[in-house]
Amino acid sequence: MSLNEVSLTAIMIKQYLYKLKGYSGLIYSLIVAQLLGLLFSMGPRSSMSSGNGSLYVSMETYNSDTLLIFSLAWIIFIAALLTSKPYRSMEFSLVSNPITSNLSNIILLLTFSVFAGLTSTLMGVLHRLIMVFVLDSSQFIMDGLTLGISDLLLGILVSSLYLILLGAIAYLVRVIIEVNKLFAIILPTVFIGLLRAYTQFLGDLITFYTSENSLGIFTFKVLMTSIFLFGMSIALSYRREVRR
Amino acid sequence: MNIILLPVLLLVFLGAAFLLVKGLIPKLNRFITWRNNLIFAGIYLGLLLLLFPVASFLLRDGFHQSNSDIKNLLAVKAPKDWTASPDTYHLSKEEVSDRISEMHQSSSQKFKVNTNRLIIADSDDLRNLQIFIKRKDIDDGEIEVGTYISPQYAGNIDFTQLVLPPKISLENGNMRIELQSQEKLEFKRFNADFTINQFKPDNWDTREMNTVRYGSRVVYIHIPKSMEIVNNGPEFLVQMVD
Repeated sequence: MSLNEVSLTAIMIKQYLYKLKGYSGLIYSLIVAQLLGLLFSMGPRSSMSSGNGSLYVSMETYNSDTLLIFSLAWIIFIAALLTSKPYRSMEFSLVSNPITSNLSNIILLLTFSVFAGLTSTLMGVLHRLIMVFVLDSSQFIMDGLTLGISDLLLGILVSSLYLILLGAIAYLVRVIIEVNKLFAIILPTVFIGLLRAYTQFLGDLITFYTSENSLGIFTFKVLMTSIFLFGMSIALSYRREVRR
Repeated sequence: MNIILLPVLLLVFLGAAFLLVKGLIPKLNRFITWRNNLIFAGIYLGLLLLLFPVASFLLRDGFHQSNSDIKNLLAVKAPKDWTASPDTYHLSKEEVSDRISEMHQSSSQKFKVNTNRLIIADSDDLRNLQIFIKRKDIDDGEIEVGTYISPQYAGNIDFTQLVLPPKISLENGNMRIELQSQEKLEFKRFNADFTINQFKPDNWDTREMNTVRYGSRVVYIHIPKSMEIVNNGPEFLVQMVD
């Protein structure tokens, strides 16, 4: 019997800080992902040209969406990594239970999501500068090029929320697969089956978030979904540990 | 993609990948401590944060070469008629007198004439134009020609004023109307990210942004009262306005 009573929160915070130190090297993979995103953003996102015989008009459109897409791919990779066996073995040296372990992972994922959201949006500023100085700036329309502070903050918040959502989905998927490896086959099969049976399914699911114009409702939707997904992950992990 | 930048960036990435594979990672491992990682993350974030005021300064109006010319072309809102149909500005002869004022007058010319006959010479260019002729109340021996252009948009860029007017010449009663060959207009646009656009429903949608509307061009000719018109082009091109 231990004389010290340690609270769940204290253990969780210790685990979180321990993992933050242990996984801090993952920052380099984020930087590489964002640099790759920057590289792929150099080309026009869409281009259009048109003529009416005497006049020919062409327009190339650029944006930094690819940067965020690379960051989203990175957070999926990180979420999957956190629950993998080699990374879980890091916890052996710590006082731990499934709840503290998952909660510390989730807080770590949130930290990474916010950092990735912050840096990918700011990387968009670098992207704008590069585009103006590399391309013929005399042809540039300036309306979307300058980014106001409110747009920057909005971009950071929304990027972070999307990263949290994707991270939560990837984390749950990984936990399900950890429960039984067969799910590695079943889940994609069910997903593809659903897509074939209900062709609008994925589209509706995505537009549920992407077509939301109210920031408050969007934040609510993302946070509620993430809490639900993380909750499911904790519940499944707990069942798995109890069974063992 | 810039033709020089792409290969350079690719070379940098390939070089980095090669070095990593060749065993740089074990050597770097000595330096990869959580403290160094944290410092590196801080520096990365700090540099990116610094870029924001720098970009705000460099991209502000009037500093960079980018240009007030194009900036002035931006439409806050497209004319409703334009968004409804590209043919809206195709005027009928009944409405030309009332609606011509809504169009941009790109040129005006006056010709003194000795003959009482105006011959409209045929040309392929005429197919892109509408020609309206109105008789004046008097025989003043003068032909007045105005060229008009309806709003022309590429996305929210109103390039109406960049379109050159048709070249019009009159020789021995023969009027020749030719479109001036024009260099192509090239625009580059940087759109806000979808994370920002999602909450700005007032922003133009992508479909509109990628649409070019040329509208129509009108040549409006006022002729002396008793002048005879000979149309050598297709019959529908020249319309008499009462």
